[in-house]
Amino acid sequence: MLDRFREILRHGMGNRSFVIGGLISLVFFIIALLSYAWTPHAIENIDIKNKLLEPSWTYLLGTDHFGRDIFSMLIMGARNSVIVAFVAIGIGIGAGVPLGLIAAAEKGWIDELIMRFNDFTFAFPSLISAIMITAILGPGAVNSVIAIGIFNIPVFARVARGAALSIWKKEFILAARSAGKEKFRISVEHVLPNIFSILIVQATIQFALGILAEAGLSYLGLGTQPPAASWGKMLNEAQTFLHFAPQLAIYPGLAIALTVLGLNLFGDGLRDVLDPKLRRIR
Amino acid sequence: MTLLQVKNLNIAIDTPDGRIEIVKQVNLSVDKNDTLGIVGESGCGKSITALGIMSLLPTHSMVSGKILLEEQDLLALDEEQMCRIRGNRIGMIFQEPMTALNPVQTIGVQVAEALDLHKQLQKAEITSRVENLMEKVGLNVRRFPLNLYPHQLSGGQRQRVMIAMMIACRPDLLIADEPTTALDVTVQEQILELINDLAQKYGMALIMISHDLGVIAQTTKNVMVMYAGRIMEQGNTVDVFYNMAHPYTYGLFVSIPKTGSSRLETKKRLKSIPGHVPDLRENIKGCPFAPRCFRAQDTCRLQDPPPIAFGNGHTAWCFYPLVEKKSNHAAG
Repeated sequence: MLDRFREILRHGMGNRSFVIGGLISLVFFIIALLSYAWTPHAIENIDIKNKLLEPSWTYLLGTDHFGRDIFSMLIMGARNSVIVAFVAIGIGIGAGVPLGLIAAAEKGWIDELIMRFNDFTFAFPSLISAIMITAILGPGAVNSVIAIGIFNIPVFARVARGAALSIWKKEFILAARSAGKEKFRISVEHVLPNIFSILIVQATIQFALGILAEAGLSYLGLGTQPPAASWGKMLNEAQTFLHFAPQLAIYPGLAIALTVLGLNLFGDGLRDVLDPKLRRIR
Repeated sequence: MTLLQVKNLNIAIDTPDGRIEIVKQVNLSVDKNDTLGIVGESGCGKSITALGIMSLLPTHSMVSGKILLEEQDLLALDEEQMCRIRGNRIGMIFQEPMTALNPVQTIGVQVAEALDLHKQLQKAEITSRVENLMEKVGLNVRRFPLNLYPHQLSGGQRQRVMIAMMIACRPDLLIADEPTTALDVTVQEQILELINDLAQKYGMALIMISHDLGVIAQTTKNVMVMYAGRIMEQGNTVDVFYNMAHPYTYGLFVSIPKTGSSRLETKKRLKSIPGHVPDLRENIKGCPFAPRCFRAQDTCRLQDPPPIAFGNGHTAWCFYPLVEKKSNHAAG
């Protein structure tokens, strides 16, 4: 396993999007982790007399209309994004991958049922459906995570099924069946390890989408609730001051764009690195 | 004693172009310690017959007939019961050693698979058995540790791993589906020898599927020639090869390049069977080989040929067999 990891790193070093995307993502994760140990200021502290300050050594990026430190809020927002995206992907993988594997293994009406249900959920634009779900369940960080997670399920189910179907056609599956292995164990022991890299790549892409969706929900006021910080919420609050304090919108906007870009680059690079057939010859 | 008996096996698959009968009226029986060869061109149904015995056909295929493994009808078993038969009582070796092993699992884990599934054994016991199996198939555990991955082995070595995996539970019957087709000739020889040795040593019956008559001649006691999903000729390998009755068997033989004779002497072109394998989607009337057969008459195209027996179990399904005159026990 460690060897494989090293090999991936070695190949990855030659891949520009893997390196750049990886670095951006790494910085993002470090910042998110950093929030547990340290933020320059507590973000709950409202300090009206210091509102809308210019950047200074005390307030690295200045303060917002409540006098909160923008830099600290960005750090806390990063943490919030990571948690939401992670849990949402967890829901997506946890339910979607087994569904996809079952569909590929059983075929027939079970496959049809799972995939048609997938199509059904796919038919609704995910963000709009997430809005609908949070509107029903009520706004809040937990509900927004559930909503985003639900829309990751069909994505992972579809990717897992497609990849698993191609593995099921392989002769080593026939060999495993000849050895007397039942479908369930073949799915877990033979199919899953072989589609792992595809799932990881999909997970990085869904991670970026999860961050976007969280920002979108929070922007609409359906996601993370105050006093917790979220990039989407920061954007929302900045809206009112767009004319005389545009930096309030620019900072979280940049943070979202950069993180999503980094994760997507990383996912692209990772796909090239993991799939030797796509690996570019240099 | 009869180990495996296949009676009137029919296998058909529904396709958008209609129903295709891939295997039609196949009867065969294999005794304990017996070896049976199945020969035929690509697409003649030999692999499908084997997969049918293993119940590993695509889900939408229709199977009828009986497959008896010591009185037990395999076609009547459900998937769970069949899982206990596969790998335990019947093992199967595949054609492509390069793809028949899981690329992301070590060979040790894969060889242990059948043992792990069918025998209640301690971990240490399994490991020692796996090491023993590796030695049996000629892979020294020091040179080929169990934690190697398939891509670190050559084709021949992988086929040895495959064999180890399939004989792990000492099945009663081993089906080898073109086990040497993907290997080069020198390795081919070694693998065939290995399979035969192991089959004898462990008292396993062997079904050897091949399109290579040399392989069949070398490894089997009985042989069955298939064409378009039907049996053309079957019997003792020596009888069939030295006294071939069916024009198709003859056609297969004359299309083997001879190495013994001098090139000047045989300045002729290599013979081949004219025409091509029939499209199974079309309704075949009469003998499927008739359109390519040099002895075919009108009857061949209209009626199914009857089995003609030549004694000692040697049978050919042909109206105009080649050895009719020679044989004094025709229709016996």
